[in-house]
Amino acid sequence: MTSELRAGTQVDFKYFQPITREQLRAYADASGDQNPIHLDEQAAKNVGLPGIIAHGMLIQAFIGERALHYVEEAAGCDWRLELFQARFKAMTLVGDTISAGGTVKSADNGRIELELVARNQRGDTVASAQVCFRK
Amino acid sequence: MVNLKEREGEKSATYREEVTESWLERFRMAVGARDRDSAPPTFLTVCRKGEFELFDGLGLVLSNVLHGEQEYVYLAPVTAGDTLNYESRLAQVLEKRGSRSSLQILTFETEVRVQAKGEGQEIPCATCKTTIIIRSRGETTEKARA
Repeated sequence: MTSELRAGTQVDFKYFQPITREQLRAYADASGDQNPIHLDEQAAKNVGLPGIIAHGMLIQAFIGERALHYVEEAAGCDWRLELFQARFKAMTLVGDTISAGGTVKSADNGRIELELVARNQRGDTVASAQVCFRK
Repeated sequence: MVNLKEREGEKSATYREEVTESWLERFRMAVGARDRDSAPPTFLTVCRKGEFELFDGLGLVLSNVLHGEQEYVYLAPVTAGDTLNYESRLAQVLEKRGSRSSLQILTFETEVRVQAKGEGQEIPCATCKTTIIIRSRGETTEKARA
């Protein structure tokens, strides 16, 4: 393990592609979640939402990518994912841009645990997650 | 409103997904994931047909529920050419009643097994836990069994 990876090390925030209708359509097709609130403006408004919202799972995917990339860079490629738990806290709308980052909670005994969040461009936390890797 | 608590333990049918390289590539593109040997960590979200079957049987309308939490415990990686077999179960129903509204929190557990291309044996792949929140005015459809 590299010396920089220990409890308290910051996982710097990296941005993902801005949320667009096209991306949500692509994600809906790839994931199988065709809930109309992610695809159709009127359907979203009909259930009291301000407009189309992104799938929570898409935000979790961003966090997952950030976690994997961080561990690959900081600790190498022989770590496997053991646990990934996410809580969805706020909506993400078309036009929002999400970044993911956080801190290393622990890194010892062949285990790395990250505490990460996804934030939008206004600095609101839209999701939080715990990601654990084992050697 | 349907008594969801009585339905705890209900199971779905078993479903199967064939993981192709082109599907993995579409998924990676959609979520901004780099190219790796294993499927991206949330690819297991494709294993939700069992949950959707249970939602339907419970009379839940997808647009009326909120996805509260999602957890994955990983036991074996998923790669192109694998087949995933899975089924889901309504593991828990929690009800929180206020004076003027109520909240229901449903937990679905999905057991995923993976069969590598060309091999007969299935091994445990992952356990997925989905937490859904039914909003206080959540209507159920007429399809719900009483």
